[in-house]
Amino acid sequence: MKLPQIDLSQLPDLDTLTGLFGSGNAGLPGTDDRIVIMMTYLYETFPVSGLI
Amino acid sequence: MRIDPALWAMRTNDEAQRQAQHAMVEAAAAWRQQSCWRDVAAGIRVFGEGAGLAQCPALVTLFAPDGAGQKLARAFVEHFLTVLAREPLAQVPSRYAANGSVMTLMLAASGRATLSLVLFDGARLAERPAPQSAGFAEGERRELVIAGCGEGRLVERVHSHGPLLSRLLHFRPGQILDIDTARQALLVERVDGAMVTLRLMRTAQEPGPSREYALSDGRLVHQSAGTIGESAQELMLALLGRMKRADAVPLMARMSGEGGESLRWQALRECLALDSGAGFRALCAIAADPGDVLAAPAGALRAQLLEAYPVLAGMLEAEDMRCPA
Repeated sequence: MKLPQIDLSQLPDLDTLTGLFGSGNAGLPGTDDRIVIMMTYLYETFPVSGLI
Repeated sequence: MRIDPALWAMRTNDEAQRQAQHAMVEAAAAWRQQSCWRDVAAGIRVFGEGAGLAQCPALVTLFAPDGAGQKLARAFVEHFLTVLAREPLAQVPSRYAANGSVMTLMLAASGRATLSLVLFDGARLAERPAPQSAGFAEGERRELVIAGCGEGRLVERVHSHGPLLSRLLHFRPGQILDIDTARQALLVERVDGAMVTLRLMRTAQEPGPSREYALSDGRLVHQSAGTIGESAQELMLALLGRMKRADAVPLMARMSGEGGESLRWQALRECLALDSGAGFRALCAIAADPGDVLAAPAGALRAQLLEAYPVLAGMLEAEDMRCPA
């Protein structure tokens, strides 16, 4: 059975979208961090076990 | 661009900077040994693990009206100012944040709890437009006005719909504010000169999304993830999807059934885009569970996909899986 390839943009989001942590404008209590998440994928050539 | 000669000198020789920072690190080590701080630090650790405030006597004392909080703030500032007077380019080893009118210096963080000194700059505050919304995030907060006076509002979300209630507050030294941050927000609107507070915060164990509501009519204007971890997972999902990592499909299918609504829905979308069969099975499982908060949107998406791709119904029949369309 050949199953369809569904394009992500055709799949709806929820009615209320949720932004990233810290993306609000009003001063939320706490340290009010704005986040930057950097991801580096090394495991294809550099196995994770090698880093530990 | 003007560069101060002292900073310029460091570009060629960082010895002065290393000495200055060494002095600050030593001062921080000495501060940690101070009796007035040791008990508070121990209290923050216990409180951060989830204990009630009553189980942390040092913290109760800190926020009592007899001035222990003021004494601690004064001791902290004097301790580090002594070093800064000697080494003005050293950095106080505490996290700090500044957004123009509010500056925060974090004295301690442990588990879910933080203790910070907060400065409200009256002149900068006056330049800012009046707030249009208030933010709410699950947690608790106790705040003691150390010095300075001002005015503001305690905004409360009493009902799930409709306008927010607000109560005028006059801040004065020694005042203690207890705030349930899931339904209350403190807006500091006017400050005479400067106001300093000592703020004890604890976030909820599993905080839901943070929400921001318009002050005028209480409508939701923004919603964001309650934890950094959830946002990180969402970004990872998106990346795995763009990388077309078919080996991530079982993980995505599993993630569509656990955790916050937004993260689950994104996992489901990525799963459907990567492997429509596995994604559709996960979608049907959610739609078929009336107790699931995502059952309604999942049901609507299931109907939409069945109409667009009748082969998916055939797949379910072939697998003899019950999936009422």
